[in-house]
Amino acid sequence: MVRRSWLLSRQLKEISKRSLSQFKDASNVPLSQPLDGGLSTSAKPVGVGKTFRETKMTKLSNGVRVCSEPHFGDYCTIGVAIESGCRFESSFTKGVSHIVEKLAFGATNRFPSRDEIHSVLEKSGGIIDCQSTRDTFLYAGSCHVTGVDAVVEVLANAVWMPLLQQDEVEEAKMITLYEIEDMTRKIECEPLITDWIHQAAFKGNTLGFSKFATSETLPKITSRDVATYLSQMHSPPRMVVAGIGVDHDAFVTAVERHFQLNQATWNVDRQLLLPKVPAVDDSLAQYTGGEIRQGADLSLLGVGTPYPHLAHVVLGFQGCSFKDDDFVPFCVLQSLLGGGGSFSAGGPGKGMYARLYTQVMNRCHWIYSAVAQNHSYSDDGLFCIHASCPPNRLQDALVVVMDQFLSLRKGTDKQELERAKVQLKSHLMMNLEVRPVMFEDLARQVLGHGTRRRPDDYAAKIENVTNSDIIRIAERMLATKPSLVGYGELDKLQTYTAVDQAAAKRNVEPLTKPSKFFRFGK
Amino acid sequence: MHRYLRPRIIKPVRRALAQLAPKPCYFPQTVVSTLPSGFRVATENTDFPTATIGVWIDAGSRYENDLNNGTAHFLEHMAFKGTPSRTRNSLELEVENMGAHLNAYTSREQTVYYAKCFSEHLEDSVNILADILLNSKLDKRDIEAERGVILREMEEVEQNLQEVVFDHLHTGTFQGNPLSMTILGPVKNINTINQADLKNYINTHYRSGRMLLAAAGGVNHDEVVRLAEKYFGGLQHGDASAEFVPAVYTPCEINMPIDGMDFCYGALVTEGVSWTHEDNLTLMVANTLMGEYDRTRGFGVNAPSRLALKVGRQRGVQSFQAFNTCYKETGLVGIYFVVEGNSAVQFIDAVTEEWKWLAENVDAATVERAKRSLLTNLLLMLDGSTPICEDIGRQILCYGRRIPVPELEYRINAISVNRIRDVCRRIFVEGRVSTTVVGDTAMWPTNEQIQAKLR
Repeated sequence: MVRRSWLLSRQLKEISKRSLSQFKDASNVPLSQPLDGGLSTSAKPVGVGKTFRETKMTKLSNGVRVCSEPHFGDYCTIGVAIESGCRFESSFTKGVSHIVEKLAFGATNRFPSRDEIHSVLEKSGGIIDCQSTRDTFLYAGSCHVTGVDAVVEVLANAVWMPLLQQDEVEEAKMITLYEIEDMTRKIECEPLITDWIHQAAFKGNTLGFSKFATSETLPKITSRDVATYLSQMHSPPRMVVAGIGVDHDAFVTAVERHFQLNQATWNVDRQLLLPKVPAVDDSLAQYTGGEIRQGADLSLLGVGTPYPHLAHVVLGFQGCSFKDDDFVPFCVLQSLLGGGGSFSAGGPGKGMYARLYTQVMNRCHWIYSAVAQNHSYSDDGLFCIHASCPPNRLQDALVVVMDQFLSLRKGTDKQELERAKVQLKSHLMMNLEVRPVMFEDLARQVLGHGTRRRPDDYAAKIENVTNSDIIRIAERMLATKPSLVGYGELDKLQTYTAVDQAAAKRNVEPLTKPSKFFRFGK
Repeated sequence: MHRYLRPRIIKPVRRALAQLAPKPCYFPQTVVSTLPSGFRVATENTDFPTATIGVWIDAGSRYENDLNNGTAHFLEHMAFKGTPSRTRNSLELEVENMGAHLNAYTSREQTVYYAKCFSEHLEDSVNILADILLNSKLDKRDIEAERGVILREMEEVEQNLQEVVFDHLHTGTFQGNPLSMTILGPVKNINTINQADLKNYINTHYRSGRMLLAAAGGVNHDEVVRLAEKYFGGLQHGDASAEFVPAVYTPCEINMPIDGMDFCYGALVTEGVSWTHEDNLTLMVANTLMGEYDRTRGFGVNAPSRLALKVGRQRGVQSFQAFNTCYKETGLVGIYFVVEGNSAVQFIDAVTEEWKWLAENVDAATVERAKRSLLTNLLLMLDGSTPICEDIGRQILCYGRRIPVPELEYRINAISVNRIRDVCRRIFVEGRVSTTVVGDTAMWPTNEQIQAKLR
């Protein structure tokens, strides 16, 4: 007999008295014909209105923070956000966080293999995923509301109870090796470029540690390194468990039951840890500026794709932390510069009037793409522009990008600033329409600020950004050392000294005149 | 109100699960109104500060003929080029300045224009949508310039072998019917479609009974009805029945060898069912059981299908994807694949065995898992105002109504293992196969040989 979800059996009971005979075989009724009796939706909102996005928060006795927001429908997104990532690797084997991501949802005592997890997910109508940035790991799942308890168990097992078996670690290392080799063969190089600009900007510390393991570091990583890292990172004060579309009390009960700290792998067996467990690196990021040049022959990457032969340049300056008063102005600046690729699909509204389109790509047709990026972390940040073009024009692209930074000192006109603000607001609000983004936003806010900051609060802050804010943060950036990345054929790319001088003099001239330091060949 | 008694009698370990369930779920209702003209308005208020609103039109390339095939798509290209009250530039700036997005697409049966915007800009968005749909300038110079753009798009489509396979598949299986024609139309038409053709198309097809204004997100139904009356009140009346020519599925066998290609790209199908047919959801469950696979992505964290596991162990299968394409009166159901030429036979064996397994041996537990997985995929997709709005627009054109989520869940849950077997026997095993293959096709068998494998 057909097994029904709880929800449906409830509805079936409600309708059974009236018209069950009609449902004996719903499979014979065309889709154009409604099945009457309790299967329609209600116009009457439940938990909607002012309380719709009301955040509830509970701190468990073991220190884990649990927060949730209601949502309509019978699917939810739940997960764990953890202050963990490559920026905390200073006293651990470098690259360990990369392996941690690959090991996510591996074997535990409760779920000895992926098959058991698949089975839970199939029953709960769920999918799961692990993603990481330099400072945060997200273990999350989306599932039917009846599957919340089961998926919380899967998450708790993944976060606190991985067995970290030898063969799993070796397999993760193999996959990682393949991934890092494959990255250099891909035309899409954003992950590498972003990693390098962080390495240049925060040389040898925190945010400047690479997100990727290397063929040198990989062989050194053992399951004890992983266990030791996890034992320090996956501690309750560094974690937030969040849910969108769940009943808060039941969610807290499930988290309380499945997140048992004394059952954590490293607490059950201390032998799994390294003899000396290093303390967590809580030092602040030190912005240094500097350069990374990755000379490479990228001429063959575009073959068989619509892409031409490209080289890349990224120019950046110190940005700000998401706790900084200038955080919102920096976000507006990113919206104002905007950018993207030279090919575009879809109708109006893609930011085609942002500066990197109107002043860069519409004027310099040889530039293939130009994008502004604002990277903000708990203690510091980086603001940069990435441009790609044929290698023989790379130097020109650098001049154009530097000019964009310098021009910001002249400020912006009212219409342009208003457009940037409206687009930033719509970007924020439209992203927050979907549960996985709501989850990430909620979990990161609580992890980063300790409280929930409302999207409306950000909207009000965006509203208050003025032209003088833009000029001020432009000067603030230019007062810092530039960060530079070149990737591809770089023989045309100016020296770092010239870039530094141009920024210091607020003039592109040092970049345009031939330098005796000009590099030839690699 | 329903009382939930189970928690008292089940083991403590199940308690939290039981405690989770009692709160009934709130599903926002899709409210539908029909104006006296026959123009429909459908909204679903999810209380967001943002919304998606768009016009869904019962028009597409299947309502064209040999001479004007490509017009619907050409019109879509002209839509953002300006109207008497908005130049192209001012249209773009107006949209950008309110932080909105405009988009449009044309398929064989539907033409869609929608805007994503702040709720407070709903009226501005409808104003713009109505203006570009009904008053586009269709400037002769713009039309000339756009021919080149569409021809370049055509070159891109021709590079995409999946599109090529599906276009040929339609040409073959629906020969003699407009459903066989491509959306872009032939080069001859792209070069000759003129202002009069475009205007004629609007006059013929943009009729009140064929159009609907759908909205989701932060939307108020009465307000959207008011906007529909204000901006679409002057439409000519009429529906699509006069233009509709029912298609008849005819098995086809198209083999297009291309020298020097590494793979054989193709589709193996039988006749499926229409949108509204009672077997549609059953076929979707069956296709979930067939699944998909891509060698470059591997298996990932979510469970692979039997067929994926089987071909994943074999060499030579690059990717496959089961599909179920529906039209108003018919459909195509089967599998799209990319395989090495000399693995083709092995792959067909695997697919036909799988179809026979579905028709004869599939077990209840497996069907339950597939139903769950299908529901998960369908319902996780309905997240955010744009996917919800697209679902509303498409369903109202296809089903004449929006299927409430609880009804969809009920219908999928009601599908029995016997039903799956019965439908798969009728559709796959007893169906008449059609094939379209492009590339390294030397080893590809005949339809007759494939049909024999199914017996």
